[in-house]
Amino acid sequence: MPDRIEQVDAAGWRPAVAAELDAGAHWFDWLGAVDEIGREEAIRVIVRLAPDADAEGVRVETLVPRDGGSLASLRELIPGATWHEREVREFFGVEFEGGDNRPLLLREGAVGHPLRRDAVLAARVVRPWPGGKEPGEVATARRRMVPPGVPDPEVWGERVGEPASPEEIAASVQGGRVRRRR
Amino acid sequence: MSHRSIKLVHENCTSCMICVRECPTWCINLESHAEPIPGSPPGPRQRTHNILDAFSIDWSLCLYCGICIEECPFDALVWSDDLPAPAASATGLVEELT
Repeated sequence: MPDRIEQVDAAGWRPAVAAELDAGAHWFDWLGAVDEIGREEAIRVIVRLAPDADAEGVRVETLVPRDGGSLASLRELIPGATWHEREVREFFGVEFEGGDNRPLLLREGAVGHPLRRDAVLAARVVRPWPGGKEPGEVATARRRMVPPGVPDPEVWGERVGEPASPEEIAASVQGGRVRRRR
Repeated sequence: MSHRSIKLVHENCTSCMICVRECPTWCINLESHAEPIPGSPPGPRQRTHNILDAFSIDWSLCLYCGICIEECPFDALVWSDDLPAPAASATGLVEELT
């Protein structure tokens, strides 16, 4: 059976988790986030709770704005959740009010949030992709291909003028054939 | 069967590039060229097949995830019991598979 999913607004995040804990789902499984760019201008934060490790659980979900979004920390309710909150804060840029805001994994002075869909790994853009060739082709392919995670060069890298919007970057990192210049 | 390294079954490989594209660490390099199929009618659109020239795996990048083996539609990549040869530097870990 899949988990029951409970969607709450950002203000109802902490009360909803507290209510689930009171209702018996006091085993904390994980807390994570998903960048919903392209569908909504938001980060979805999810926490999974269950009565015990094997039982059916509940997933409490909420949407936080991508720009300057913040959420009440679950620190008082679940001390172990702070580690996950620190990770979400670094990787997705969601602030947790009253939580532990020390950096966790990224080096000091790191810019950006690497798990957002519009975050581009520049090392991948610079290095030539071995899969760019067509079968049987000796030199570079006639069709230009980019690997997943690397945006279309017209969108990021070789673009002239205004930088592309985060939506455009996120939509172009799917990999595959580069669209022709119009 | 153990997962110590990856072996190429040369005669099965069609140089389709699927393993190279699927590899998450970009550790596979494949060189191939197209040749006309012997006995096929000549002409401007003669049928060709791909000849594998070189196939290398960089063991300094390989995660041993097995995605290439899983994805290969022709079973040209298989797990092998042999460890990759040690090397003094990362560049020495690029192995040409034959």
